[in-house]
Amino acid sequence: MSSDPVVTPAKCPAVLRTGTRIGIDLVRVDRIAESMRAFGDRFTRRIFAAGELSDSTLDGRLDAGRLALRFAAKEAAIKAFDLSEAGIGWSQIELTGWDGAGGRIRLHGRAAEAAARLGAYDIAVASSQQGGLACAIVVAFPCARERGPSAVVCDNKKAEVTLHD
Amino acid sequence: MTDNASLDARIRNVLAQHGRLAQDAATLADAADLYQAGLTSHASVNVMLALESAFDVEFPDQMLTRSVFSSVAAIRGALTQLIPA
Repeated sequence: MSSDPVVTPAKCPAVLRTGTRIGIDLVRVDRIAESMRAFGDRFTRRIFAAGELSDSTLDGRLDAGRLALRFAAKEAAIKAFDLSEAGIGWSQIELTGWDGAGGRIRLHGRAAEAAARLGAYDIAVASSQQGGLACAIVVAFPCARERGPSAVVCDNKKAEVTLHD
Repeated sequence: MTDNASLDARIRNVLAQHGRLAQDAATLADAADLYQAGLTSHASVNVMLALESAFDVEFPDQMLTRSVFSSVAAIRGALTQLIPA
């Protein structure tokens, strides 16, 4: 019995024929903690937006696990939107409103501009954390609605992306 | 030791300390792909911060690309733009 081979339509970034874009990243929590120890505020302020730092603070201290989850989400978004050569700061990609099951990714500045050039997308972000690892997946579906670069492009309750100028 | 050789040695020292490469940073070819050698996106952040400390420079956002940290040669090219003559 023979069957046609299954061939992925694109190598990198992961873009399906439908235009759906996918990015995933896996981060070791202990490595994030090492960066915090080695570089202190230079690491956290360079990588994370002020809101992310606030959301990642537990009992007055930054939590490496929460930061790892956010770092993974940023990298997943970079892969989904093919931003690795866009020349953007990590803090321009912000995970907000994370409730343990879902949240929103907000793109600022050049990150927003680069993503907007690809068109409007409904975007979902999911994450998991276990065994000292934090994983995030971003899936972006082409959105037929005409919306500007500052518009909210996702109506999903749990995952919403807002593009900011 | 020429300036370029000194620059290379300091870059490779940073890579050895923060790159978590699967290969010896001291013997990597100038153009060898650091990501193929094991550099992760998170380790590239550490390398960037360590380079900033070592050379007293700051990478502007527009230089924060995958290709800038893709090889010793690419890092050297970026640093020569940032280090005052």
